[in-house]
Amino acid sequence: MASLEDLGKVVSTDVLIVGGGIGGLPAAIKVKETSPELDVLLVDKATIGWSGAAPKGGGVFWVIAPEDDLDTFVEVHVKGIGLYLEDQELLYEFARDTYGAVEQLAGWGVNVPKHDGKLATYHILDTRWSHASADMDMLLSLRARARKLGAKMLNKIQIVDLIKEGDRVAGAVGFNIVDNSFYIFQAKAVILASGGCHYKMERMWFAGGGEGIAAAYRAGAEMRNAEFGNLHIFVLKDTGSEPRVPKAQDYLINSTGEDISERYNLRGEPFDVPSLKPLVSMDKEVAEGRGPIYLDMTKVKPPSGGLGEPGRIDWYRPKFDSWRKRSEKLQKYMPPASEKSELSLRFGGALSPVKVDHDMRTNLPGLWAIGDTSYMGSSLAGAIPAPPGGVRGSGLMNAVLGAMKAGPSVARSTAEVVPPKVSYDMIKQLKEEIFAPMQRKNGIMSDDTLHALQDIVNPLRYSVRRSKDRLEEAITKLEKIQQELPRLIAKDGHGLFKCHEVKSLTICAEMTFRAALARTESRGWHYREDYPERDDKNWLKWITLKQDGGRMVLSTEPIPIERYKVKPSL
Amino acid sequence: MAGATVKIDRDMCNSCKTCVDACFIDVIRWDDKEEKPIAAYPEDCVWCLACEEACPVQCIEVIPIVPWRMPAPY
Repeated sequence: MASLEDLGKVVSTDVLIVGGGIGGLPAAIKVKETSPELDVLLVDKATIGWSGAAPKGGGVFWVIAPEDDLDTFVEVHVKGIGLYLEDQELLYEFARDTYGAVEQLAGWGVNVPKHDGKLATYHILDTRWSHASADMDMLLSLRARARKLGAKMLNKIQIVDLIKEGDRVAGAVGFNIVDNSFYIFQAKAVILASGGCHYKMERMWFAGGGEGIAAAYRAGAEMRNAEFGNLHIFVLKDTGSEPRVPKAQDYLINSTGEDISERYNLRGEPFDVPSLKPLVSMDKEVAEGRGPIYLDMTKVKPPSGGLGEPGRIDWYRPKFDSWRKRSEKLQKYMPPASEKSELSLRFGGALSPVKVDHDMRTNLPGLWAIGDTSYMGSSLAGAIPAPPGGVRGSGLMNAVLGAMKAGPSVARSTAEVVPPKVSYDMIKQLKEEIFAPMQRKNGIMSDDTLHALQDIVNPLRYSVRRSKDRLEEAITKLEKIQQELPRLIAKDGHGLFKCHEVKSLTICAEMTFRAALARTESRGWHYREDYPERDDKNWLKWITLKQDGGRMVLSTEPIPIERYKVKPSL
Repeated sequence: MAGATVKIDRDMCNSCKTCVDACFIDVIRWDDKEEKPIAAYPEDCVWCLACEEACPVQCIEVIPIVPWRMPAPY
């Protein structure tokens, strides 16, 4: 009789954590601290300790410090950032726990700045909340802690699909991207900590291929708030790099030299409440023949405030400093700065739609989702792409806080679970589908498909200045790409890994376009030219979606605004 | 897509393998025969510079191919 071992390497564990970054490692630690007897296995497509977003960003954590007012933070967030689409109870809970979470990281061995024995926190420009820092090697400290507690780790394995037994998630399948070997992971519980979806346009977020989101979707997990997965950032057209100008929207001019920051009233917006208005204004100017848009460097003023108060942060981050110096080295390869730099916009996506409850449980028994897989799906952020969710450093912090919730929840729920049985036929079919691009002799390359997809998601007319007609046009184009996916080819594990990323990205893009088509109002980062007003009467609702019968099915869920402290005036 | 020339000075390299770990998008692979790293997929490099930064003997240099493909926003 055929056995699973004939298909690939079979690994059994109590808890499988997909992704070993700033979400996965703390989750492993929390599970082991809660129930040391449980076997915990972390699997990552890169190398744990270096993978994910944490070692590449600034090492900044959003924190509500003792001097910050929690009620003020929530009110500013709800009225200015998330526009009443937050789960306000979760927002309170997470904001309250931020400071303790950084102290917990320090307790696990991460080097965080202290001042007079207390956590050193600071404000970036005029933010009404605080930040704390850690150096960019923080994951190596967490990896050491997780290993000490007995967590096991496997690297260079891309998880493609979840295994189900009935409704319950019973593990996952994937392959080693170096030697192409097939892996079958049987688990009583799975935590998705595999990051979000960024369409591979922002260099530092390239890891976010959306595979965990797509795997959860295919398994039947619900998604929420996908319409807000449309983050765009200003970049200089010549270099593709971000202009080093805080509040760049204050210095925009069109091709005739007109001050469009003035025309569209873009100045004076607070730094800590990001707005879609500059992007819509730029697209309108170009559509009406007054493009391109430039950044008028002659008018740039140094911002008031700064990146913290040097006297207070008496702390040196050698890894960050070294990374920053090397990034500056890249400047020598870039065209020189001019007084009038043409601006462009790059799509970052930032889609994290897996719907979870306050314990980070999905609707599927046995499946939890944390960090950038579920930041928007938890409704912590509301009507804005997340991360960053309008709050710098909230991506890292949300991942840690999610781990703090999911770890004990998984440990409590898993003790009673009987090891699931896995169907040979189902695994055989999954294996054939996963390796199909390597079996084809002719077809299309993943890079070509990725570029075609980027050309649909990047234009502002589809992702920012939305309308029914334009969204339907985008979906039609996307469907053509989806029809071609069965023709993807790969010659090795690296190519196969890219095929599965691009397949996942097309699912993510469809979620965003379909949810955007359904929301017939404008709110936060969702702007509909045909429905330009916010409609609190009809749209205090979350849009959820899931796969049903092979199709993407959308529905709405009323927001329990009567339970929340901050209410709109209706 | 970005892409870069990833120069690895194999004579200087001490075979610690840290650059392979540091590369989060599988550009640098390990050559088992020579016990040295190789830039296997430089066309996928996004200049994160993690390999340069992590190398204890500073034997890697990443030279970006500028500009990288940027889809039009309009």
